[in-house]
Amino acid sequence: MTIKIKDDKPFLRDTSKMLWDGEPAAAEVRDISPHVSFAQITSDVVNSLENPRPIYWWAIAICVFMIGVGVACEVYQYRTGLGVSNKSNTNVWGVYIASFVFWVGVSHAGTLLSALLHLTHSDWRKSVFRYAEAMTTFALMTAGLFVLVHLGRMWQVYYVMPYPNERGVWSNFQSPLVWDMFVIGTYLTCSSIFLYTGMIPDLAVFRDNIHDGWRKKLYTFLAMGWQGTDRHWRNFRVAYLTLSVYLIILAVSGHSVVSSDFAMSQQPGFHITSFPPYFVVGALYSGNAALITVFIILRFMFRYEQYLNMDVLRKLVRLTFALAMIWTYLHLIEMATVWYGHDTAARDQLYFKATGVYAGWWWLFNFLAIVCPWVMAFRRWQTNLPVQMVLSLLLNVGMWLERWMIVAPTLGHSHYPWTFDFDQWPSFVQWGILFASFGWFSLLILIFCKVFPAVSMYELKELAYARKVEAHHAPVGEPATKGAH
Amino acid sequence: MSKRHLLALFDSFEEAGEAILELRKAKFKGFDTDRDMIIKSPIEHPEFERVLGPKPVHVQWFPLFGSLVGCTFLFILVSGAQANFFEQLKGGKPIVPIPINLVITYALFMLSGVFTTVLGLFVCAGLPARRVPLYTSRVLDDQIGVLVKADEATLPAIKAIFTKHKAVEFQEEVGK
Repeated sequence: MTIKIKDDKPFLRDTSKMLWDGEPAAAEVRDISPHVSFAQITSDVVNSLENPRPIYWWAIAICVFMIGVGVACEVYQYRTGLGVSNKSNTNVWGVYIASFVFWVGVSHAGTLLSALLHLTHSDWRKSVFRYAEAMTTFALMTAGLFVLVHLGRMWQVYYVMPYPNERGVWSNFQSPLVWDMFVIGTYLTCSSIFLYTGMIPDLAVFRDNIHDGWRKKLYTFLAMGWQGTDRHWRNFRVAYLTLSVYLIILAVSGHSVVSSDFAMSQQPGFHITSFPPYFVVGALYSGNAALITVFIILRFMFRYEQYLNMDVLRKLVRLTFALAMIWTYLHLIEMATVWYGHDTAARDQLYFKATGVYAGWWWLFNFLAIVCPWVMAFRRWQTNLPVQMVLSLLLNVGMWLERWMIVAPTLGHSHYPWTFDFDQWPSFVQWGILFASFGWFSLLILIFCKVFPAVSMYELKELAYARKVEAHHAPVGEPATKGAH
Repeated sequence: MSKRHLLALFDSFEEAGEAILELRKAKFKGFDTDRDMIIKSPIEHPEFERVLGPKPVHVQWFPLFGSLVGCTFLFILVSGAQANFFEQLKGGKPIVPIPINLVITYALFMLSGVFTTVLGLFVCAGLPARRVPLYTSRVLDDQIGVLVKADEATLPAIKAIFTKHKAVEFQEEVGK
């Protein structure tokens, strides 16, 4: 039986359903409509680049302002010295390293969606994985900046890099900080390659649909002559699958190594066996919450209501909720281990977090990261865009506080009373640079989505084709939208 | 006899697939479907594997050898750097600590694996590729293209098969 790809029915975009939709309409129940044609997908994605909503340019301006604040703070810190950040010999990491861990964490959701769900054939990921991959790369680039800022003398970062030099002194390969440089550097390189490789077929579509200007040259160069031949697709499939496997392993090992920065030390509050899985799951959790935020923004800004639809959001929210519950379990386990253990310094540390000068922040983070996600358990809220927007932001505030609560109270309450530093509060310089990091990350994402396809056209076409086949073979009287996910 | 290219465009995967099957069965003299036929499509379609027959993919060997060679080389590099510590006091600790080095070697195992996977893709898929004759952007948009290279005498018969299976458009190379 012949199954036509081209559909005679014109697809009607429901322009009445914009930013603050409530429950999905009946036609929007599946991840993609079986009636959407290949040409429609191409034209929607290409047009979205040319014509984002005006708020896009406002967002760019706000991001530039935020970056300006951070640059001013960094220049002031650079010229005056790290003391202006109000760090001390005890509280040597502060907001910078907490933010480094936070941004490495945000990067993990992209790998989960693009690589892990690719291996498990979860089709709903196809509309969201591209911008999730971009988030991975840009979040790692943001994280890397914090290391440079934290160093003060940022040019000395090369001390951790292995290279033959006239002093005969190599980096200390036994230090988790050096491992960090290797693993995060590898993760950034590999995620960039993964992002680019997955985009090649779409870049070729752009090459053919954009007729002049610098973009045409850029796409022509990056598409590398892709023509969608059977030879191209056959090898592409295996290569992409192989890269997915590498990326999953890298993501898990990457954040495990970041956790080693803490867990390998003898510091009470850091020296915890469960830190690697705790960090990895926390990363996936906060990364997924960030994905929801970006999902809602891109859906509106680039008019992707057709592809970033409510069914996909519901699945994304459910996944985030599941990760939140796993993370909650690991968090409680971590506290229980300390509580029932015999390490009095670690137990004092826990008391200090819950009752000391940071208690307000500690309880706030517990509320935001453990209690708030329960809103996601209710079906009626899962596709409520205002609720999910606010909630995803709150979850990320909670997860940033979690990283800060790992760093600041722990360093300020070590083994020896002479190292205690309860009054450390980050100066405006640290907050300003943190503020700028959100602007930097958002600016990179916005530029990426304006220049490159933020949703994967070829995977959406595969999805649309699969849904069309399902619809064609659905028994008479049964809705075509009911089927395997 | 000189050979020329013919590109047939189809709206349907199934029609294109049936045309290819018939072309394979026809066994025209001097026309080898494995060598002289290229399918172009906007998505990867597993059905084509059935009609084209099994074709080997060698990409996976690149990361296998790449990772092994890369991690071995880098382990030696790191250990060689640590051997420099012969000149320095180590406080009784091993000069080349194997478990510690495994962390770095592991990361670089991944890095070299990813690099060689992409290298494998480029080599096996023939990228960067020059555009073959009779390219149309519609094959990346919403149509399926079957490009054949055959003797001028054979082309009408091939065209007839494509027409039978509802090819919507033809592009033909101009004869020299």
